[in-house]
Amino acid sequence: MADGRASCHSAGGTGLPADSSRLRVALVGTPNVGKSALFNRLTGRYVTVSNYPGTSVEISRGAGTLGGEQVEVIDTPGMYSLTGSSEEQRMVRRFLFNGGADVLVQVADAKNLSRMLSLTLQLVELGRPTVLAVNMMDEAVRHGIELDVTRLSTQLGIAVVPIVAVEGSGIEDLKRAIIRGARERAPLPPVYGNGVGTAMRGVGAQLAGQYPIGTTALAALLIQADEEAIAAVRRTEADGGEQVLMTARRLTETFDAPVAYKIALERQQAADDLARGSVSQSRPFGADWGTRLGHALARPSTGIPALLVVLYLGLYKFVGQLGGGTMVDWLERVLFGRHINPFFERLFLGIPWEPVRSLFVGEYGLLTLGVRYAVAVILPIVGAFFLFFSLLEDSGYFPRLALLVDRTFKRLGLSGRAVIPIVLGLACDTMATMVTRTLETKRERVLATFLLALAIPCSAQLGVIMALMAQQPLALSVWLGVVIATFVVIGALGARVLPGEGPVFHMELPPLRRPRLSNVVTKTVARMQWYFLEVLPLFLLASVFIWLGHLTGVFELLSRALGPLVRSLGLPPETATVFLFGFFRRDYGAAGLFDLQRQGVLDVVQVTVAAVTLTLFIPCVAQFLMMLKERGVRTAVAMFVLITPIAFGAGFLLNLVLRSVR
Amino acid sequence: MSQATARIMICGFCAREFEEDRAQTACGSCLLNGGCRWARCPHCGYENPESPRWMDRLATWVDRHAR
Amino acid sequence: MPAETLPLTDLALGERACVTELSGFYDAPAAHLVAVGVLPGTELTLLQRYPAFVFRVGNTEFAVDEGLARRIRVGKRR
Ligand SMILES: Nc1nc2c(ncn2[C@@H]2O[C@H](COP(=O)(O)OP(=O)(O)O)[C@@H](O)[C@H]2O)c(=O)[nH]1
Ligand SMILES: [Zn+2]
Repeated sequence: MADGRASCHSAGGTGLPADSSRLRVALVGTPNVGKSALFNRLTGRYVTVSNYPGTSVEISRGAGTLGGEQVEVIDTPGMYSLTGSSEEQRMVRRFLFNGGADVLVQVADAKNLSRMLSLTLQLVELGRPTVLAVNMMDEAVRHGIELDVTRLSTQLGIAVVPIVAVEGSGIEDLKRAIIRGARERAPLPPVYGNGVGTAMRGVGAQLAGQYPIGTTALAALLIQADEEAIAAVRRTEADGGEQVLMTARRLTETFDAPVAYKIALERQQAADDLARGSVSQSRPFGADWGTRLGHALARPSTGIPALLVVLYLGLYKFVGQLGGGTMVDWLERVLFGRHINPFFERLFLGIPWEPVRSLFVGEYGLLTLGVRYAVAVILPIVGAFFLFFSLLEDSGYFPRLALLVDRTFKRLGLSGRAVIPIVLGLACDTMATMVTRTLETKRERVLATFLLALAIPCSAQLGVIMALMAQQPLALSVWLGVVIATFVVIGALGARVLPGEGPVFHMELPPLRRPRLSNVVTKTVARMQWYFLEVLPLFLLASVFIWLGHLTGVFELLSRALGPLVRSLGLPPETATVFLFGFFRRDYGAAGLFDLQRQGVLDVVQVTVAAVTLTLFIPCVAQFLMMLKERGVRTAVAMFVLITPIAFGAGFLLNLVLRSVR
Repeated sequence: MSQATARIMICGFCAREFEEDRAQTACGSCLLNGGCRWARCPHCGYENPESPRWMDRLATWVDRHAR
Repeated sequence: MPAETLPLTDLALGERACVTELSGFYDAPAAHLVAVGVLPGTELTLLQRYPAFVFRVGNTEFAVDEGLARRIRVGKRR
């Protein structure tokens, strides 16, 4: 206790490797302001990432050179305020409190300066050399924002340097300001006006010891009854700090609202005043088309019709009719029908052994079925779907969708945020099942996994179904209605059965943007490549299994076993094969259905019933494996056991209803 | 002009940017074959497709020969 | 301190107000807001109330559900 000085809780005491000979520069700032970009600029990005002792919060350290001097640059997790109870905030508080850095560099977003300045004031209160790096100046200029650097710098009492971290402009000025800041005296604490300010000064004046942070900041923390601050005062003050702690406690009690608000309010007021004085915006935000269209898309009255039009044009017209109709037609009839298949058949004609020939070119041949499905049916449909998907994605539409569905999703025990896995499920359910990990509660994860397995068709399935019914809008509406109804009804039941708290929804809405052609093309090609590399081997594998099944007679046996089930849905016996295909891969099954319909085996009712059943039916093997992995054996098997009767039950009922209506 | 060393991606969902190598790639835990390349956004969890290397090379080539 | 404070849900569309309090400043849902920078003292404009509450802070827009919106208390400008 006798040596209770700053040194006893210096950086060394935190367990961090501290190289005392080097200047330590800490980057502080709110999330997403370009801290990492600046960090990379300053360090050349050979960094070590370490967890701060006792936490899982990552901080990166790197070596840099400023004005010929070797320095250590430390990146801290992003945050808006130093007061707060999140792990990050506690960590950064401890780090600063223990004198972990010699110079603080706050990185701020020039477009949102008034929201950033309250943190600046907190840093200045700490009484350490501080530099404000106003980043993203390029974007600010584009938004018509002007900044009076000199004025802001004078008012804050610290250096203010405008930079563009990604381009590297302003970095040299910033480096000079950091070196200068390290030599100069620490800034004077800001003066707050009303009761809180007086209280802070009053407490500050009673502090006699030496602290690694300024007395204003310490006083603010004491009034907020911060434990670390109280402990430091007990250690440092000669009388154990009784007097000053009592004053602080009394002040804590005199304020009616929690004192944290009072202080935060006061700081923000000061920040607003600062921003008003030195930031001007010539064009008001919210007047550009992106913002206005964004608002229209987020309102149900305009957003829902717009969504329907987009889905109609994108899915029905583009994916279904153009991709699944015109393009598949050409590929199947011309490319495969006239050239590729005859070529392969001639090629294998010389092979005398029939089973081997049929492995490659038979009814279920690797080349004539597997490759044909993959290239002529799935590829154009999936390609069209991914183009549509990437276009929506690149325009920034998805967060609006999250907002629109939030209320409905709440009924299903999910928040609007769950559209992330659901939308990804429309691309690939297997991947989406893995993404359910990002949902906050276990309940949400289970419900989302279940709904993905039950009612979300993957891209190929969706595309094939659009193509199947492209000529029958009525059948398509029935399919859509049944699938959506199942999603909502079963989801709502699921939310009832699984107890737990409802999720909370909050989301930042980035402005809508004009999709960039190069982005859209790149993302589409990337998705198609991924899909194709994944799908082709599995399709070939499925062909081999089916061939084996035929050879051994197992396949006929299974088909016959499925016969009664298929008949009870009013479907012809050939569809049993489709369901068997479907279990290998949903899309393989859908492609099989597509084939049957083109042969004219199925009527409208049968197509609709089969499409509904196949959509609701169990996911492909890959997705089931992912469910096992992510949710565990018991949950996954339970889902399997639930989904099978729901799928076939829905098909059965639908058949009855449609037959009686006709 | 000094080049940024990391590839920056803009998340397709939340529109925030992140460095490709800061993303948790899904492939590690993926059951499918290793052909996929996805970058999970550290801010929201959305899986973004990484652009295939051959496309990058193609783009560079086109850039070089376009003038 | 503004004289009267009310929950965000009672604000009229297009109205500007100042955040005075996040009930449960320290527990999880409010911490989400603090994490994105909606702090006491922040000025916001309400843009939409259904199906979720949308407000603008500075140049950024946020959407929150009704439960969370109720916990944001605001004071009209002095
Ligand atoms: N236009 C522009 N974008 C920037 C600038 N600085 C950073 N960014 C972008 O903003 C993104 C978020 O920055 P990051 O460094 O990840 O932020 P952090 O969350 O603070 O570490 C980066 O990935 C950059 O691409 C800048 O000066 N101008
Ligand atoms: Zn994201």
